[in-house]
Amino acid sequence: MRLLHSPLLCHSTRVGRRALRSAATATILTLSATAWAHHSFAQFGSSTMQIEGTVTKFEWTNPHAWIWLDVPDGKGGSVEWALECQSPSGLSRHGWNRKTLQPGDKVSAELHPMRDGSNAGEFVKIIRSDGSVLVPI
Amino acid sequence: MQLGIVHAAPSQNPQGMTWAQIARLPDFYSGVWDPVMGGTPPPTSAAAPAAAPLAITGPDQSGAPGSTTEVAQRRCQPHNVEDSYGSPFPIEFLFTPGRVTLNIEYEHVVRRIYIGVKHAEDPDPTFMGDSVGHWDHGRLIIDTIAIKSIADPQGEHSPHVVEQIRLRAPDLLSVDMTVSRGDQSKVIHREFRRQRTWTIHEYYCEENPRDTLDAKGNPAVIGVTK
Repeated sequence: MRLLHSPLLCHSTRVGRRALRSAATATILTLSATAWAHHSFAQFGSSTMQIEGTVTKFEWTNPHAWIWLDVPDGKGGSVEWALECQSPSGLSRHGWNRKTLQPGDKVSAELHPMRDGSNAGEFVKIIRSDGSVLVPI
Repeated sequence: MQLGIVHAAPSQNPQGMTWAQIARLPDFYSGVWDPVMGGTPPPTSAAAPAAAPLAITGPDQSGAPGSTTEVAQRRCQPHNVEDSYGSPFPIEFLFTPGRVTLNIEYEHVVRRIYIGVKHAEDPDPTFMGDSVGHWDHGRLIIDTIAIKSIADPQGEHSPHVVEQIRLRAPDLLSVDMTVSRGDQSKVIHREFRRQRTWTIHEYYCEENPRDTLDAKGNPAVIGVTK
């Protein structure tokens, strides 16, 4: 069961792991039979991975918002990752705006990575350096 | 010779042709309507269209990966009237004398439904088709013909679409859409909750469509590296 075809929304709040799990469960129950949205998210796998990095760009655009991160590669360099989020219209109805993420923000991100190995994934959760959490709800 | 699309003259039952008449119509127009996701109940009204065989020949409009509609969405190509209620984005109704306008947030679509008139004569097919409507016991009945799609750009296989829209409760809107092609038809049922404080937002798919298909037709994201 995936949060695929929704405009759903990322929610900015300070929440614990239990609350996050509850929110995710509620979301799944609510959206289990959703219709199509912009496109299938079948390019993303069901596995989850975590990365830590610095926001380089936050594209507040349709049909999807994108979060771009500079992620250390462990060799002294870095690689760029892109996280696909929902549409700005949906995000904004849950408190997001174009300034929710700023270049330079240090974040820990959770994502469903692309099946083809590209450095991109479906946004699952971001924990900002101040402890606030952004999740789809 | 008359140029342009001209609908036939108003019938003898021109409901909603004046502002005073509009004030007596069901209130579809306050706020916007948020689709109820997670599955919707089947039609419950005896007046709802009877369910018919779902099999409809033509393009795969299931929205499944690789289907006609999914690929079109990925390429930011327009959808058609059949998909008016399929997205999880809100819709909005505007009532003006002789016309209902339906604004659909997804892909910034506008539908114009002319009230109390007949269809234009032999209209050119369009994505939203030629829509006329009337009111029947609190239901807005919309009849749409001349519909084209990306897969049928000339509208040679246009379906005939009939919608019944009503308030099931003051803040719950019910839509039954019957899509017919030849002797086949299907019924799409959706419900929407009124959100009085929301507005319709701008949505242009062409703004930043990073989701694409590679040369082999596999999903890919523009601008990322492997």
